Amino acid sequence: MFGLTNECVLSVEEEFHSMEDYQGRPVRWCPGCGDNGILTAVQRLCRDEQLPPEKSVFVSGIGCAARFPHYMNTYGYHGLHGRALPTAEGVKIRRPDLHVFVNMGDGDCCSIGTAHWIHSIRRNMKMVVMLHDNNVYGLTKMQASPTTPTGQKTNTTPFGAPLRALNPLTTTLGVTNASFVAQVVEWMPELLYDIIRQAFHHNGLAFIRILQRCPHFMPNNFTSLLSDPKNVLLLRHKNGMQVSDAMARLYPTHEEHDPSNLHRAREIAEDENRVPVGILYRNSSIPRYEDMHKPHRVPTWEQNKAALESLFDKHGIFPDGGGAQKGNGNGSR
Amino acid sequence: MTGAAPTNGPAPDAAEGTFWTPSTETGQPVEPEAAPENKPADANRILDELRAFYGLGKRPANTGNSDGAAPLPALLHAYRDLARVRHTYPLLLNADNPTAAVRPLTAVIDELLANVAGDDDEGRQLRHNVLRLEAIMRSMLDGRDGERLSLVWDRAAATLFETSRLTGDKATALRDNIAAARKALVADGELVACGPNTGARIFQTCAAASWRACCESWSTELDGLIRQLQDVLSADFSRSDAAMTPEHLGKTLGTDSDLDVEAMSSLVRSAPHGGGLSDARRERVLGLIATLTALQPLFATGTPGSTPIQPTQVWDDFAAASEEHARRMRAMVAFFRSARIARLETRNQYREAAHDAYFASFGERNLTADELALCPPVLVRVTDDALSGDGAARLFEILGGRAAIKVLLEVRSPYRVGEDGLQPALSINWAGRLAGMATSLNNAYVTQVPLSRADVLSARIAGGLRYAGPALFCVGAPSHVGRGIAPHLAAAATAEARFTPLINFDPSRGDTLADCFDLSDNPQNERTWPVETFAYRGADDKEATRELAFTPADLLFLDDRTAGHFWSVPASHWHVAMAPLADMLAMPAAEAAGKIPFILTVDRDNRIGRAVVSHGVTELSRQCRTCWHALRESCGIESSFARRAVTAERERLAQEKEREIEAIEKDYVAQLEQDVGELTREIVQRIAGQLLGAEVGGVVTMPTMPASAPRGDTTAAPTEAPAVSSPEPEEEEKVSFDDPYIDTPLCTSCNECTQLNNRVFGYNSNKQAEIKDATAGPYSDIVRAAELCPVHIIHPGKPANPGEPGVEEWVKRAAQYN
Repeated sequence: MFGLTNECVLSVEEEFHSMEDYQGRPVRWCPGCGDNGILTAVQRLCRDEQLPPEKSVFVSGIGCAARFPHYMNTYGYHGLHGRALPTAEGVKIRRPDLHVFVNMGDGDCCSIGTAHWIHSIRRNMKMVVMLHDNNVYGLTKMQASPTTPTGQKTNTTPFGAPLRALNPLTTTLGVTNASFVAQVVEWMPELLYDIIRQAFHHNGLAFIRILQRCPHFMPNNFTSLLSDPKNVLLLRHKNGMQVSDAMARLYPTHEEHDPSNLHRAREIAEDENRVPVGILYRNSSIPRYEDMHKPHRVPTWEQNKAALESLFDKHGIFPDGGGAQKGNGNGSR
Repeated sequence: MTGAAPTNGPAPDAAEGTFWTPSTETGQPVEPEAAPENKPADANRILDELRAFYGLGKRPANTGNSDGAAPLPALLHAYRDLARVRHTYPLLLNADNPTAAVRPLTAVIDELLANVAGDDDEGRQLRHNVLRLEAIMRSMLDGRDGERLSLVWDRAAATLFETSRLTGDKATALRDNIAAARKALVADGELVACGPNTGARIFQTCAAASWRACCESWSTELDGLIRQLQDVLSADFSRSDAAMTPEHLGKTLGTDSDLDVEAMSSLVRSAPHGGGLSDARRERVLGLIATLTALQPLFATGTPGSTPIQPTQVWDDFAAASEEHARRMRAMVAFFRSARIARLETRNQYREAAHDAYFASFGERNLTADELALCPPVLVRVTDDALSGDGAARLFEILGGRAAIKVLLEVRSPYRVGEDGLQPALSINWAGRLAGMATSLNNAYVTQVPLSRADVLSARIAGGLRYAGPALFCVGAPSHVGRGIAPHLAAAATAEARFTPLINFDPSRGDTLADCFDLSDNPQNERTWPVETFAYRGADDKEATRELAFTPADLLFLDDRTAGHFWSVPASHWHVAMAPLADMLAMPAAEAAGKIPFILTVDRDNRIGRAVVSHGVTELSRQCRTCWHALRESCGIESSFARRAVTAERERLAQEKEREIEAIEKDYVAQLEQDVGELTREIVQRIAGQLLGAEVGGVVTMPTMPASAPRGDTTAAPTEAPAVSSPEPEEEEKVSFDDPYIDTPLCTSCNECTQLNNRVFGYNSNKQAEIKDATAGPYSDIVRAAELCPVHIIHPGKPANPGEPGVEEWVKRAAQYN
């Protein structure tokens, strides 16, 4: 309009960030590990969106995938097992200006962190949550995880896993306030990038289950998908995942799935015959917890300082043995 | 705040933020929280106050404006900070480049980047840095005009280097990028920001470029013609006695010559030679040379010399321009008369008996189209003030004639504002309608373009200068816009508000209006008002959008002279009877009668407000709409006649169909009654026959209804999942390549191949593997990498070195990956 367009508003920050600018320490994952592909896709997203490294945070728990923050040249938090999500929520609620990403393995998310997973979905705070699901505990040398397939022999299930695997998609889709649920496999870089990009632009918590190969402990886990592409069901839609012609020819089984259709999303998630790849569900109108609890008035610096002083006074050490009285001026802190 | 209403001042509620919850996160406009519901008595009082303002311009004494900080019409709010928006200005003016005399700086930079910036990370970085430089150049030009692009570039680069916080490799890359782009920068010229004289600068630049392009080939021809005439005189002189004197021969041969010039003079005199030119012809040729040489600088391709005609001179008076045109035509008629005689003279074909009479009566009517195109048009630049008095009559006289007078009319105000009262009288400035009126003459080239569309304007001016007749270029360049709006944005707003629609009328395109008339440059010309999606956050802090129309009221809101026509009411005064102005204008009269029109505004603190619009502004908007609709009809976008005919025909067809249905129903009922009667009779007869024992065999066959078609919707299975397509893969031709290659887009960056041999394998800018150098390692490494690759995208091909030890075994292992 007016011969102008908002699309051409310049975003010319001080520095252009290349992919190398987002690369942190040398990667220590095994060669062939699917985590490498996820790392590359995320670094590409950061480069394409020109995310300021000082405004980006990667939070993880414990596991192979949890080493992710080490390999990003951004802020990161390698925390406690299963506690990545509450940490990330804490970051987001106090610093809504930061781009928050969460990387969890299947143990981190679906075992010890299940309660946080469920309630984080319900809170729907804006962040990208990546579940690196290789169906096994790799860091601790091959124990069964909640998503290990039935019959899979591991160190903790020498006669084969007895239970049916937990389905993170149906679980997430069943939680109140789920607003973005997608599944992708790390060996399709084009689709992996597209899903992460759309998740980044989603206005709420975007949950992505990324099926990931563990070539060391589960070398044959996804062989059927790799050898027979027809077992992969591509979910295409103008409002969903974008699939190039080349990719569509490589993976010929498609379905036109509208991501706003929750009922169909649940049906697709439950189907054990094919592995869906795409955005199963998206609803941008679901309220976000941080919006509901956003303070109407941002505290001033003086108020913050007074609150901190008050907090410090509670734990102050007073050489003269006096009590911790606010503002008595006798103690040293 | 500029443009404040006389009784302005933020209302206490707004100032204290009672109704507002500004968004601190996104910067999006925020809707105020709904005010507590008014009691019926208060609601009636508020409605009375709103009506009093709308009809009489009276505001309640205790309620001022709730303007907040510098409110703007909602659709303009997004353009408050133009420094970061790439737009048409500044312009690069270069009259030496006829194909691109006027170009936006952004177009120059985009072309430059297309040549030097690739798609990889280095290219993106270069683009990033050059765009930063462009932003600095734009800010440097605020209020300054006429500097060379190359100089501004160098100053901006110095500023960029000084202010950049980059260090190390990044700082070096920045300097390298700017240097590389500077080296590739070939375009140069004057950079011009948008200002009061920009329209005239564009006009003059286009005129100079157009003139140079026009006379480029003719200049060479004219120089040749003059030389040939001089040759005729030289040849005549060489046969004269004066040329055969010893003195002249001595001068011709030079002082060092040993020749006996006396003997040579006797010799050449004794040789037979024909007679020279007749005196009349010599005089004629001398006269031709004098006439042609006098105007030779006019057509010079370099810097024009002294000439009686200045092709880029601009006049500001219609009468003087007409006189100048007459003077020029006299000069040009004499010039082309001489040129034509010169052509005959140089070919020795001029016959006095045949040609003298013709050239004695040679006049403007004898000029060809090519010759007319070489007559420099007279340029006139006026503002709408010049149309008072007899100015308009003189202008229409020019536009209705044949004289190539090109008029630039700068429309400073598309409406007029009276001087009295809080709500001064408003009326449309008919100068803003002049372009539309001029098209009805069907004689002149007419265009109307706002200053904001400099690219369109320069193209239209170039077209008008080529046209062999009068031309009118109306340029929307409003001068009475406040509230910090940039001049070109204000000009764009006049066009968006349909005050000065974009018009192009070129009579040379054909004989019909459809050929000549064009409104396609207007924004959303199929609509009454342009509509844009407005994104904001609701009172509940949820993101929302709504479609907003840009109306004349939005433009008038920017003018401090019309502040009394708007009342920015606090949220507590929002009433159900209020309706957006565009909606109200679209309502039937009866429905609109009870409405109070308003426009949506947003202040500097992102707070959404409502400004109630006066009756005067509403009527002016209605008038604009009517004019716009009439213009669209002229251009064939819409036809009220056709619409009326279609409605009548539709009604006629509907009535006809109704009659047909009635007839079918009538026939059906009659047939049904007849069939039921016959059937009843047959049943009665059969029953009677059976009862009476008359039926042979004693079996009665009752008539049966034909079986109804199965109802698919009730027998179908419950809703099934959408069909999953799984087409059979097409047969693909088996291909094999000798060189190794990788399906790079499918690479998962797993590091297997790069860790195996990082000289053979490497990553591209997306960190996906590719063959760096197949000969940098043994063939066995490529085959091993293919075996290790988890997604099997490495194809080893054939070995580059067939003599490699054990190569046969590796070729066998590679076969399954090729």
